[in-house]
Amino acid sequence: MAGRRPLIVVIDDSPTSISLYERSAASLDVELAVFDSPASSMRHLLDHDADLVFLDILMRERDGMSVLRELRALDRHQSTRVVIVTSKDYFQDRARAKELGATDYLVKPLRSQEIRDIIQQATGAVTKADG
Amino acid sequence: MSRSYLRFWGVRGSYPAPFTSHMGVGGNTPCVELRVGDDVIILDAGTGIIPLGNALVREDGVRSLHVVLSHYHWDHISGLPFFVPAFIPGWSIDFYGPAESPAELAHHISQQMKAPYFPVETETWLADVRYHVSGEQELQLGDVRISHTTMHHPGLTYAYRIEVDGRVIVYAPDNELAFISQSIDARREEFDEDEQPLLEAMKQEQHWRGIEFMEDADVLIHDAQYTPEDYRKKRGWGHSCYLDTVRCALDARVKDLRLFSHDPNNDDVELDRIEGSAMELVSAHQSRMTCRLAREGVQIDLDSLPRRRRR
Repeated sequence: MAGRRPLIVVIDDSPTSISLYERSAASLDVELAVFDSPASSMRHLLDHDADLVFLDILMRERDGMSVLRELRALDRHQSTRVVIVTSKDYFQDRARAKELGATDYLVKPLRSQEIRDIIQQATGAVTKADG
Repeated sequence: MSRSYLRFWGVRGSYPAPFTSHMGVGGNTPCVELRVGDDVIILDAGTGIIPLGNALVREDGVRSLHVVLSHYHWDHISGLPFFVPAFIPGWSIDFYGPAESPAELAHHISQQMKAPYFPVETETWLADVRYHVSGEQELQLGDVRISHTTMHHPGLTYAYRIEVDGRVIVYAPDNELAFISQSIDARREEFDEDEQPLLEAMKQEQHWRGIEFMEDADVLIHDAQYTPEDYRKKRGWGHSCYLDTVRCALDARVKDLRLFSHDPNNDDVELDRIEGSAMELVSAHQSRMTCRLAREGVQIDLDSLPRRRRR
Protein backbone atom coordinates (compact mmCIF):
# COMPACT_ATOMS: atom_id res chain seq x y z
CA MET A 1 0.00 0.00 0.00
CA ALA A 2 1.48 3.32 -1.06
CA GLY A 3 1.74 6.29 1.33
CA ARG A 4 1.31 6.20 5.07
CA ARG A 5 -0.40 3.37 6.83
CA PRO A 6 -3.85 4.14 8.28
CA LEU A 7 -3.64 5.31 11.89
CA ILE A 8 -6.09 3.59 14.22
CA VAL A 9 -6.44 5.13 17.68
CA VAL A 10 -7.86 3.13 20.59
CA ILE A 11 -8.98 4.94 23.75
CA ASP A 12 -9.99 2.35 26.34
CA ASP A 13 -8.73 1.71 29.87
CA SER A 14 -9.57 -2.00 29.85
CA PRO A 15 -6.38 -4.10 29.46
CA THR A 16 -8.32 -7.03 27.99
CA SER A 17 -10.04 -4.78 25.45
CA ILE A 18 -6.68 -3.33 24.46
CA SER A 19 -5.33 -6.87 24.01
CA LEU A 20 -8.28 -7.62 21.77
CA TYR A 21 -7.63 -4.56 19.57
CA GLU A 22 -3.91 -5.39 19.34
CA ARG A 23 -4.62 -8.98 18.46
CA SER A 24 -7.26 -8.01 15.89
CA ALA A 25 -5.13 -5.43 14.14
CA ALA A 26 -1.93 -7.47 14.16
CA SER A 27 -2.59 -8.96 10.73
CA LEU A 28 -3.50 -5.60 9.15
CA ASP A 29 -1.12 -3.09 7.63
CA VAL A 30 -2.11 -0.29 9.99
CA GLU A 31 -0.52 1.77 12.72
CA LEU A 32 -2.24 1.21 16.04
CA ALA A 33 -1.94 3.85 18.76
CA VAL A 34 -3.38 2.64 22.05
CA PHE A 35 -4.22 4.87 25.00
CA ASP A 36 -5.56 3.75 28.36
CA SER A 37 -5.81 7.38 29.41
CA PRO A 38 -8.21 9.84 27.74
CA ALA A 39 -5.89 12.72 28.70
CA SER A 40 -2.92 11.11 26.92
CA SER A 41 -5.03 10.34 23.88
CA MET A 42 -6.20 13.95 23.64
CA ARG A 43 -2.61 15.20 23.81
CA HIS A 44 -1.76 12.88 20.90
CA LEU A 45 -4.83 13.75 18.86
CA LEU A 46 -4.24 17.48 19.20
CA ASP A 47 -1.52 17.25 16.54
CA HIS A 48 -2.20 13.94 14.78
CA ASP A 49 -4.83 13.00 12.25
CA ALA A 50 -6.49 9.62 12.74
CA ASP A 51 -8.25 7.42 10.21
CA LEU A 52 -10.37 5.72 12.84
CA VAL A 53 -10.86 6.08 16.59
CA PHE A 54 -12.27 3.35 18.83
CA LEU A 55 -13.53 5.02 22.00
CA ASP A 56 -14.99 3.53 25.18
CA ILE A 57 -17.32 5.78 27.15
CA LEU A 58 -17.09 4.04 30.53
CA MET A 59 -13.59 4.84 31.76
CA ARG A 60 -12.23 5.56 35.23
CA GLU A 61 -10.42 8.77 34.35
CA ARG A 62 -13.04 10.47 32.26
CA ASP A 63 -16.39 9.93 30.58
CA GLY A 64 -15.81 9.06 26.92
CA MET A 65 -18.69 11.26 25.73
CA SER A 66 -16.80 14.33 26.92
CA VAL A 67 -13.74 13.06 25.00
CA LEU A 68 -15.87 12.83 21.86
CA ARG A 69 -17.23 16.31 22.42
CA GLU A 70 -13.74 17.74 22.87
CA LEU A 71 -12.52 15.88 19.80
CA ARG A 72 -15.30 17.25 17.62
CA ALA A 73 -14.44 20.77 18.74
CA LEU A 74 -11.04 20.42 17.08
CA ASP A 75 -10.93 21.40 13.39
CA ARG A 76 -8.64 18.43 12.73
CA HIS A 77 -11.19 15.92 14.02
CA GLN A 78 -14.54 17.30 12.96
CA SER A 79 -15.02 14.42 10.54
CA THR A 80 -12.72 11.77 12.02
CA ARG A 81 -14.49 8.41 12.21
CA VAL A 82 -15.15 7.68 15.88
CA VAL A 83 -16.71 4.34 16.81
CA ILE A 84 -17.98 4.02 20.37
CA VAL A 85 -17.29 0.52 21.73
CA THR A 86 -18.62 0.08 25.23
CA SER A 87 -20.37 -2.27 27.63
CA LYS A 88 -23.24 0.24 27.95
CA ASP A 89 -26.22 -0.51 25.73
CA TYR A 90 -28.79 2.13 26.54
CA PHE A 91 -30.87 4.32 24.25
CA GLN A 92 -29.87 7.48 26.11
CA ASP A 93 -26.18 6.84 25.47
CA ARG A 94 -26.72 5.87 21.85
CA ALA A 95 -28.70 9.07 21.30
CA ARG A 96 -26.04 11.19 22.99
CA ALA A 97 -23.28 9.57 20.92
CA LYS A 98 -25.20 10.30 17.72
CA GLU A 99 -25.81 13.88 18.81
CA LEU A 100 -22.07 14.32 19.40
CA GLY A 101 -21.21 12.92 15.98
CA ALA A 102 -20.15 9.33 16.66
CA THR A 103 -19.82 7.29 13.48
CA ASP A 104 -21.19 4.14 15.10
CA TYR A 105 -22.04 2.70 18.53
CA LEU A 106 -21.17 -0.93 19.25
CA VAL A 107 -21.56 -3.01 22.39
CA LYS A 108 -18.78 -5.15 23.88
CA PRO A 109 -17.65 -7.82 23.47
CA LEU A 110 -16.58 -7.56 19.81
CA ARG A 111 -15.01 -10.46 17.94
CA SER A 112 -11.58 -9.96 16.39
CA GLN A 113 -13.07 -10.35 12.94
CA GLU A 114 -15.66 -7.64 13.67
CA ILE A 115 -12.86 -5.25 14.63
CA ARG A 116 -10.88 -6.10 11.49
CA ASP A 117 -13.97 -5.59 9.32
CA ILE A 118 -14.61 -2.16 10.85
CA ILE A 119 -10.99 -1.12 10.29
CA GLN A 120 -10.92 -2.36 6.72
CA GLN A 121 -14.26 -0.79 5.81
CA ALA A 122 -13.29 2.54 7.35
CA THR A 123 -9.74 2.80 6.06
CA GLY A 124 -9.34 0.36 3.20
CA ALA A 125 -6.48 -1.26 5.13
CA VAL A 126 -5.06 -4.42 3.63
CA THR A 127 -3.64 -7.44 5.41
CA LYS A 128 0.11 -7.53 5.84
CA ALA A 129 0.37 -10.54 3.54
CA ASP A 130 -1.52 -8.66 0.78
CA GLY A 131 0.43 -5.45 1.32
CA MET B 1 -29.44 12.27 68.18
CA SER B 2 -25.92 11.28 67.16
CA ARG B 3 -23.49 13.76 65.72
CA SER B 4 -22.86 11.91 62.48
CA TYR B 5 -25.51 9.82 60.80
CA LEU B 6 -27.11 8.66 57.57
CA ARG B 7 -30.88 8.82 57.27
CA PHE B 8 -33.02 7.43 54.47
CA TRP B 9 -35.74 9.82 53.25
CA GLY B 10 -36.46 8.09 49.93
CA VAL B 11 -35.58 4.53 48.90
CA ARG B 12 -37.73 3.78 45.82
CA GLY B 13 -36.42 3.67 42.27
CA SER B 14 -38.17 4.91 39.14
CA TYR B 15 -41.30 6.58 40.57
CA PRO B 16 -42.97 7.22 43.94
CA ALA B 17 -45.05 4.42 45.44
CA PRO B 18 -47.44 6.09 47.93
CA PHE B 19 -49.49 2.94 48.47
CA THR B 20 -50.62 1.62 51.85
CA SER B 21 -49.14 -1.76 50.89
CA HIS B 22 -45.70 -0.10 50.50
CA MET B 23 -45.51 2.15 53.57
CA GLY B 24 -43.50 -0.27 55.72
CA VAL B 25 -40.50 0.31 53.46
CA GLY B 26 -41.50 3.71 52.13
CA GLY B 27 -42.71 5.25 48.88
CA ASN B 28 -40.45 8.22 48.21
CA THR B 29 -37.76 8.25 45.51
CA PRO B 30 -34.03 8.54 46.33
CA CYS B 31 -32.86 10.92 49.00
CA VAL B 32 -30.34 10.18 51.76
CA GLU B 33 -29.27 12.67 54.40
CA LEU B 34 -25.69 12.61 55.62
CA ARG B 35 -25.23 14.70 58.74
CA VAL B 36 -21.69 15.30 59.96
CA GLY B 37 -21.65 17.79 62.77
CA ASP B 38 -23.16 20.97 61.39
CA ASP B 39 -22.71 19.90 57.76
CA VAL B 40 -25.79 18.65 55.93
CA ILE B 41 -25.09 16.71 52.76
CA ILE B 42 -28.07 15.45 50.79
CA LEU B 43 -27.56 12.58 48.36
CA ASP B 44 -30.05 12.95 45.51
CA ALA B 45 -33.21 14.99 45.40
CA GLY B 46 -36.04 12.54 44.72
CA THR B 47 -39.37 13.03 46.44
CA GLY B 48 -37.71 12.10 49.75
CA ILE B 49 -36.13 15.55 49.79
CA ILE B 50 -39.59 17.09 50.31
CA PRO B 51 -40.11 15.81 53.88
CA LEU B 52 -36.41 16.35 54.55
CA GLY B 53 -36.75 20.01 53.50
CA ASN B 54 -39.79 20.41 55.72
CA ALA B 55 -37.83 18.96 58.65
CA LEU B 56 -34.82 21.18 57.98
CA VAL B 57 -36.82 24.43 58.07
CA ARG B 58 -38.07 23.48 61.55
CA GLU B 59 -34.47 23.17 62.81
CA ASP B 60 -32.62 26.03 64.41
CA GLY B 61 -29.16 26.74 63.08
CA VAL B 62 -29.16 24.90 59.76
CA ARG B 63 -29.22 27.30 56.82
CA SER B 64 -26.56 25.81 54.54
CA LEU B 65 -26.96 22.62 52.50
CA HIS B 66 -24.98 20.58 49.99
CA VAL B 67 -27.03 18.58 47.49
CA VAL B 68 -24.99 15.93 45.65
CA LEU B 69 -26.76 14.43 42.63
CA SER B 70 -25.98 11.07 41.03
CA HIS B 71 -27.70 12.03 37.75
CA TYR B 72 -30.80 13.81 36.46
CA HIS B 73 -33.39 11.12 35.84
CA TRP B 74 -36.70 12.33 37.25
CA ASP B 75 -36.76 10.07 40.27
CA HIS B 76 -33.52 11.70 41.48
CA ILE B 77 -34.53 15.36 41.09
CA SER B 78 -38.33 15.41 41.22
CA GLY B 79 -38.48 16.59 44.83
CA LEU B 80 -36.72 19.88 44.06
CA PRO B 81 -39.83 21.81 42.90
CA PHE B 82 -41.24 21.24 46.41
CA PHE B 83 -38.00 21.65 48.38
CA VAL B 84 -38.97 24.45 50.75
CA PRO B 85 -35.46 25.68 51.77
CA ALA B 86 -34.83 26.69 48.15
CA PHE B 87 -37.70 29.17 48.33
CA ILE B 88 -36.57 30.90 51.55
CA PRO B 89 -34.17 33.86 51.58
CA GLY B 90 -31.16 33.38 53.82
CA TRP B 91 -30.66 29.73 52.93
CA SER B 92 -27.57 28.64 51.00
CA ILE B 93 -27.68 25.59 48.72
CA ASP B 94 -24.75 24.18 46.77
CA PHE B 95 -25.57 21.61 44.08
CA TYR B 96 -23.02 19.11 42.77
CA GLY B 97 -23.48 16.64 39.93
CA PRO B 98 -22.13 15.19 36.70
CA ALA B 99 -21.94 17.83 33.95
CA GLU B 100 -19.56 19.55 31.55
CA SER B 101 -20.08 22.89 33.30
CA PRO B 102 -22.00 24.48 36.19
CA ALA B 103 -24.34 26.05 33.62
CA GLU B 104 -25.17 22.60 32.22
CA LEU B 105 -25.91 21.32 35.72
CA ALA B 106 -28.19 24.30 36.36
CA HIS B 107 -29.90 23.64 33.03
CA HIS B 108 -30.54 19.98 33.88
CA ILE B 109 -32.12 20.91 37.20
CA SER B 110 -34.18 23.81 35.90
CA GLN B 111 -35.77 22.04 32.93
CA GLN B 112 -38.32 20.22 35.08
CA MET B 113 -39.53 23.55 36.45
CA LYS B 114 -40.78 25.09 33.20
CA ALA B 115 -44.26 25.91 31.95
CA PRO B 116 -46.45 24.09 31.16
CA TYR B 117 -45.04 21.36 33.44
CA PHE B 118 -44.65 23.52 36.56
CA PRO B 119 -45.96 26.96 37.50
CA VAL B 120 -42.75 28.53 38.79
CA GLU B 121 -39.16 28.32 37.60
CA THR B 122 -35.89 27.98 39.52
CA GLU B 123 -35.54 31.75 39.07
CA THR B 124 -38.12 32.05 41.86
CA TRP B 125 -35.81 30.30 44.31
CA LEU B 126 -34.86 32.86 46.95
CA ALA B 127 -32.04 30.86 48.53
CA ASP B 128 -28.47 31.56 47.50
CA VAL B 129 -28.03 28.71 45.02
CA ARG B 130 -24.71 27.69 43.47
CA TYR B 131 -23.84 24.91 41.02
CA HIS B 132 -20.64 22.87 40.93
CA VAL B 133 -19.49 20.07 38.64
CA SER B 134 -18.54 16.82 40.38
CA GLY B 135 -15.47 16.78 38.18
CA GLU B 136 -12.03 15.22 38.22
CA GLN B 137 -11.20 16.65 41.63
CA GLU B 138 -12.47 15.19 44.87
CA LEU B 139 -15.02 17.28 46.71
CA GLN B 140 -14.09 18.40 50.19
CA LEU B 141 -17.17 19.53 52.10
CA GLY B 142 -16.15 20.34 55.65
CA ASP B 143 -14.72 17.14 57.09
CA VAL B 144 -16.25 15.04 54.33
CA ARG B 145 -14.27 13.93 51.29
CA ILE B 146 -16.22 12.74 48.23
CA SER B 147 -14.97 11.09 45.05
CA HIS B 148 -17.06 9.73 42.20
CA THR B 149 -17.12 6.82 39.75
CA THR B 150 -19.16 6.44 36.58
CA MET B 151 -21.92 3.84 36.84
CA HIS B 152 -23.48 1.40 34.37
CA HIS B 153 -26.77 3.22 33.86
CA PRO B 154 -28.27 5.24 31.00
CA GLY B 155 -26.51 8.59 30.60
CA LEU B 156 -23.70 9.93 32.74
CA THR B 157 -24.41 8.60 36.24
CA TYR B 158 -22.14 8.76 39.25
CA ALA B 159 -21.69 6.73 42.40
CA TYR B 160 -20.07 8.57 45.29
CA ARG B 161 -17.48 7.25 47.71
CA ILE B 162 -17.66 9.35 50.85
CA GLU B 163 -15.03 9.39 53.59
CA VAL B 164 -16.16 10.71 56.96
CA ASP B 165 -13.75 10.63 59.86
CA GLY B 166 -12.19 7.33 58.88
CA ARG B 167 -15.42 5.68 57.74
CA VAL B 168 -16.37 4.99 54.13
CA ILE B 169 -19.90 5.27 52.76
CA VAL B 170 -20.60 4.40 49.13
CA TYR B 171 -23.78 5.66 47.48
CA ALA B 172 -24.63 3.94 44.18
CA PRO B 173 -28.39 4.29 43.69
CA ASP B 174 -28.58 3.25 40.04
CA ASN B 175 -26.13 0.73 38.63
CA GLU B 176 -26.47 -2.41 36.49
CA LEU B 177 -23.76 -4.69 37.84
CA ALA B 178 -24.12 -7.78 35.68
CA PHE B 179 -24.62 -6.38 32.18
CA ILE B 180 -21.20 -7.04 30.68
CA SER B 181 -20.78 -10.52 32.17
CA GLN B 182 -24.20 -11.50 30.84
CA SER B 183 -23.37 -10.00 27.43
CA ILE B 184 -20.24 -12.15 27.32
CA ASP B 185 -22.12 -15.30 28.35
CA ALA B 186 -24.89 -14.64 25.83
CA ARG B 187 -22.44 -14.29 22.94
CA ARG B 188 -19.79 -16.77 23.99
CA GLU B 189 -20.61 -19.27 21.22
CA GLU B 190 -20.01 -16.64 18.54
CA PHE B 191 -16.35 -16.44 19.51
CA ASP B 192 -13.58 -18.68 18.23
CA GLU B 193 -11.97 -21.15 20.58
CA ASP B 194 -8.76 -19.14 20.71
CA GLU B 195 -10.74 -16.03 21.71
CA GLN B 196 -12.33 -17.75 24.72
CA PRO B 197 -9.49 -17.15 27.22
CA LEU B 198 -9.50 -13.42 26.44
CA LEU B 199 -13.27 -13.38 26.79
CA GLU B 200 -13.06 -15.01 30.23
CA ALA B 201 -10.31 -12.57 31.23
CA MET B 202 -12.54 -9.69 30.13
CA LYS B 203 -15.41 -11.05 32.23
CA GLN B 204 -13.22 -11.28 35.32
CA GLU B 205 -11.70 -7.86 34.68
CA GLN B 206 -15.10 -6.25 34.30
CA HIS B 207 -16.41 -7.92 37.46
CA TRP B 208 -13.55 -6.69 39.63
CA ARG B 209 -13.48 -3.28 38.00
CA GLY B 210 -17.23 -3.03 38.50
CA ILE B 211 -16.89 -3.44 42.26
CA GLU B 212 -13.67 -1.59 43.02
CA PHE B 213 -15.54 1.60 43.91
CA MET B 214 -17.32 -0.22 46.74
CA GLU B 215 -14.31 -2.07 48.17
CA ASP B 216 -14.17 -2.20 51.96
CA ALA B 217 -17.09 0.21 52.37
CA ASP B 218 -18.41 0.49 55.91
CA VAL B 219 -21.84 1.24 54.44
CA LEU B 220 -22.83 0.53 50.84
CA ILE B 221 -26.13 1.89 49.57
CA HIS B 222 -26.66 0.15 46.24
CA ASP B 223 -29.27 -0.42 43.57
CA ALA B 224 -31.08 -3.75 44.08
CA GLN B 225 -34.25 -3.08 42.12
CA TYR B 226 -34.92 -6.42 40.48
CA THR B 227 -35.58 -10.01 41.39
CA PRO B 228 -33.90 -12.61 39.13
CA GLU B 229 -37.23 -13.00 37.29
CA ASP B 230 -37.49 -9.22 36.78
CA TYR B 231 -33.92 -9.00 35.58
CA ARG B 232 -34.48 -11.60 32.88
CA LYS B 233 -37.14 -9.27 31.43
CA LYS B 234 -35.41 -5.98 32.19
CA ARG B 235 -31.76 -6.64 31.47
CA GLY B 236 -30.36 -3.48 29.91
CA TRP B 237 -32.65 -1.12 31.86
CA GLY B 238 -29.79 0.07 34.06
CA HIS B 239 -30.60 -1.60 37.39
CA SER B 240 -29.28 -4.58 39.33
CA CYS B 241 -30.78 -7.82 40.53
CA TYR B 242 -30.50 -7.89 44.32
CA LEU B 243 -28.60 -11.20 44.21
CA ASP B 244 -25.89 -9.62 42.02
CA THR B 245 -25.72 -6.70 44.45
CA VAL B 246 -25.23 -9.03 47.42
CA ARG B 247 -22.60 -11.14 45.62
CA CYS B 248 -20.64 -8.06 44.56
CA ALA B 249 -20.83 -6.56 48.06
CA LEU B 250 -19.48 -9.83 49.48
CA ASP B 251 -16.60 -9.85 46.97
CA ALA B 252 -15.87 -6.21 47.83
CA ARG B 253 -15.75 -6.99 51.59
CA VAL B 254 -18.50 -4.49 52.39
CA LYS B 255 -19.49 -4.36 56.05
CA ASP B 256 -23.06 -3.09 55.84
CA LEU B 257 -25.13 -3.34 52.66
CA ARG B 258 -28.40 -1.44 52.30
CA LEU B 259 -30.43 -2.64 49.31
CA PHE B 260 -31.78 0.48 47.58
CA SER B 261 -33.90 1.76 44.66
CA HIS B 262 -36.70 -0.69 45.36
CA ASP B 263 -39.01 -1.49 42.50
CA PRO B 264 -42.27 0.47 43.05
CA ASN B 265 -44.12 -2.67 41.92
CA ASN B 266 -42.88 -4.51 45.01
CA ASP B 267 -44.96 -4.15 48.17
CA ASP B 268 -43.76 -4.66 51.74
CA VAL B 269 -44.43 -8.41 51.61
CA GLU B 270 -42.33 -8.89 48.50
CA LEU B 271 -39.54 -6.65 49.79
CA ASP B 272 -39.44 -8.56 53.08
CA ARG B 273 -39.07 -11.75 51.04
CA ILE B 274 -36.21 -10.15 49.06
CA GLU B 275 -34.52 -9.08 52.28
CA GLY B 276 -34.79 -12.61 53.69
CA SER B 277 -33.41 -14.13 50.51
CA ALA B 278 -30.50 -11.66 50.48
CA MET B 279 -29.69 -12.45 54.12
CA GLU B 280 -29.76 -16.17 53.35
CA LEU B 281 -27.20 -15.63 50.59
CA VAL B 282 -24.96 -13.74 53.01
CA SER B 283 -25.27 -16.58 55.55
CA ALA B 284 -24.52 -19.17 52.89
CA HIS B 285 -21.22 -17.35 52.29
CA GLN B 286 -20.52 -17.44 56.03
CA SER B 287 -20.07 -13.69 55.90
CA ARG B 288 -20.60 -11.27 58.77
CA MET B 289 -21.79 -8.53 56.40
CA THR B 290 -24.96 -6.81 57.54
CA CYS B 291 -27.56 -6.88 54.75
CA ARG B 292 -30.84 -5.01 55.05
CA LEU B 293 -33.37 -3.19 52.92
CA ALA B 294 -32.96 0.58 52.97
CA ARG B 295 -36.15 1.77 54.66
CA GLU B 296 -37.51 5.29 54.93
CA GLY B 297 -36.84 6.81 58.34
CA VAL B 298 -34.03 4.44 59.26
CA GLN B 299 -30.95 6.15 60.59
CA ILE B 300 -27.42 4.72 60.71
CA ASP B 301 -25.28 6.17 63.48
CA LEU B 302 -21.85 6.72 61.93
CA ASP B 303 -20.17 7.47 65.25
CA SER B 304 -20.88 3.90 66.34
CA LEU B 305 -18.99 2.39 63.38
CA PRO B 306 -15.35 1.46 63.96
CA ARG B 307 -12.85 3.99 62.63
CA ARG B 308 -10.21 2.87 60.19
CA ARG B 309 -7.17 4.27 58.50
CA ARG B 310 -7.86 6.33 55.41
CA ARG B 311 -7.30 4.64 52.04
